[in-house]
Amino acid sequence: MTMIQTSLPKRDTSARLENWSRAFYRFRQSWLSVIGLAIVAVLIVIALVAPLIVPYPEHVAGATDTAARFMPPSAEHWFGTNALGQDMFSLVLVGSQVSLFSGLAVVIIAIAVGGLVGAVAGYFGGWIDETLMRLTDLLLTIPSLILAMAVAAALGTGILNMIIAISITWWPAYARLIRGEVLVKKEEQFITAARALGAGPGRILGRHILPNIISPVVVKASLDMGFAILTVASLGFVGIGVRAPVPEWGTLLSTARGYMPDYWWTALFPGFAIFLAVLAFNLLGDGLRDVLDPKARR
Amino acid sequence: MSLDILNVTKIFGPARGGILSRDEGFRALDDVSLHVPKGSSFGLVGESGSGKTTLTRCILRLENLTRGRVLYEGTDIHGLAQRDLRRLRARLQIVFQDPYASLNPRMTIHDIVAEPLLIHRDLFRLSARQRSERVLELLEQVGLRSEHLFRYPHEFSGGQRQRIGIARALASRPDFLILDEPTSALDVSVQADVLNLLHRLQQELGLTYFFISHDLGVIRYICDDVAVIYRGKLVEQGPVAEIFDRPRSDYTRMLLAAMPDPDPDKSPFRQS
Repeated sequence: MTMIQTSLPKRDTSARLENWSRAFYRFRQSWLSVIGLAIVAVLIVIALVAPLIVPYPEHVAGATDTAARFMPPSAEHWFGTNALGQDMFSLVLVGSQVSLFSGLAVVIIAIAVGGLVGAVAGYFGGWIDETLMRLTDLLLTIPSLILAMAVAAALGTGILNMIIAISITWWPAYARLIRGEVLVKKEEQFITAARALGAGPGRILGRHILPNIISPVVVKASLDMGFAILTVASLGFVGIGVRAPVPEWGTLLSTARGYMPDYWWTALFPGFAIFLAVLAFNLLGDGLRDVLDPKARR
Repeated sequence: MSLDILNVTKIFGPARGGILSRDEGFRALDDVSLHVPKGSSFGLVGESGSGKTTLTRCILRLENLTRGRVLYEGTDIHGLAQRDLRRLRARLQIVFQDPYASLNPRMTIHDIVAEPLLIHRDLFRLSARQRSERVLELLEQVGLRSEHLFRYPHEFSGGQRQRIGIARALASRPDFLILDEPTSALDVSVQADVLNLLHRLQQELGLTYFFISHDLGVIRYICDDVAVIYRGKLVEQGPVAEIFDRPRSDYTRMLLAAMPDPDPDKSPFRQS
């Protein structure tokens, strides 16, 4: 084989950079999306550094201070204290860890499992498609929170079991989404071209189909992050989420329920944290949809 | 390398019905037989929906045959095991009609042209660097430059994209190229460039062309032999000069009569 001696040009990233800056410009057009992104960024930073910055780290670990029960919000205790005299500000801040981590884990597991099932079903079709999709339909018919509660109750409490329980109810939605997108992309001519080149199903799915359907998946994932956090909190609220000393927004809210309305601050601040996180991820998801998936805009 | 198409019939999906069902499906190809000799350019002419593209898909085994055989140098393409088929695909390549749809929008030109080398890496055994050099060589062969290497398809014009498609088809060093209306989606001025490129490549690389078109002018320019297909059936075939000068069938005469005259003074749009 004769090789011409040539110097290869450097991989030129300017085109990619330009695409990013154009996408960010479109994202900025909606100030709500920017607010969503900002809150999400702040939440992530808080979750990462919370144990280091909270004023009462010993309360997070389970220490109590019964002398200071039910203190209203003040300079020392910004969010007041609860029935055990623990600083609510510290608990809510650290509680973001469980919510964000399990929300993210649920979405990632759901995408991985749903993506595999949906891609295989959509690409191969036939009886494989029928079998996988009927299984998916079966799971979709069961109300997701009830199923998650049943699974979590069966597995026992604990953060990992809770994540598994929610993931089981969430992957079917991704399987349907990804199957539909694969069915559309499968008919594109560049797929025929890849087949004519001799590419196998693994390469066609991985290199040609999946990179082209990533946008709707990212949009759905960011919208779902909010609902995942809400579901985690719901399980915590009904008492099958995280075990006691670990602070979690749903559990905090659930314990505070008995002290309403006199000690309103014990319920208000965890509730507000849930509200803020769900809202922020929804705003972010809406903004991402405008950028990545403009045709889906309502 | 010679290609023989023997009595190929392709019927698309008769609806599954009872034994009384009269639905026989759609007969896209009806008993088509062709011989494409090695080193020549064989043209296939027909109107839209006449089965041209179905025939290419059948040759490449992207579609299964209802009846008949496709022989490439004597081996039945539709009888091959998957592994041998993959090996054969390196030698039998295709350039598609639509240069906008046939390139993956998420891949750089480098990755698009390098893909055949990756798929057939057991055949070529190139290091990553050698692959990149080969890609550059291919791009230069089709008239593109090194600064195009890491761009995405949407940054190119239709003619440039078709050149990328040609470079991809040539990457695995095929000896047989199916050209499925490679110029019909392009502007007239660009068409001529791409046709000249194809002509030059054939002479440099000794390729055999199976050239599909509805444009008789293009066929006359490129091809040695031509076959005319109408509603899935071959109407006639023979050397280009013979078919163009002495068409035997009415359909071919009609096609030839519909050919626009290159002389602008004879244009029907010109008054007086």
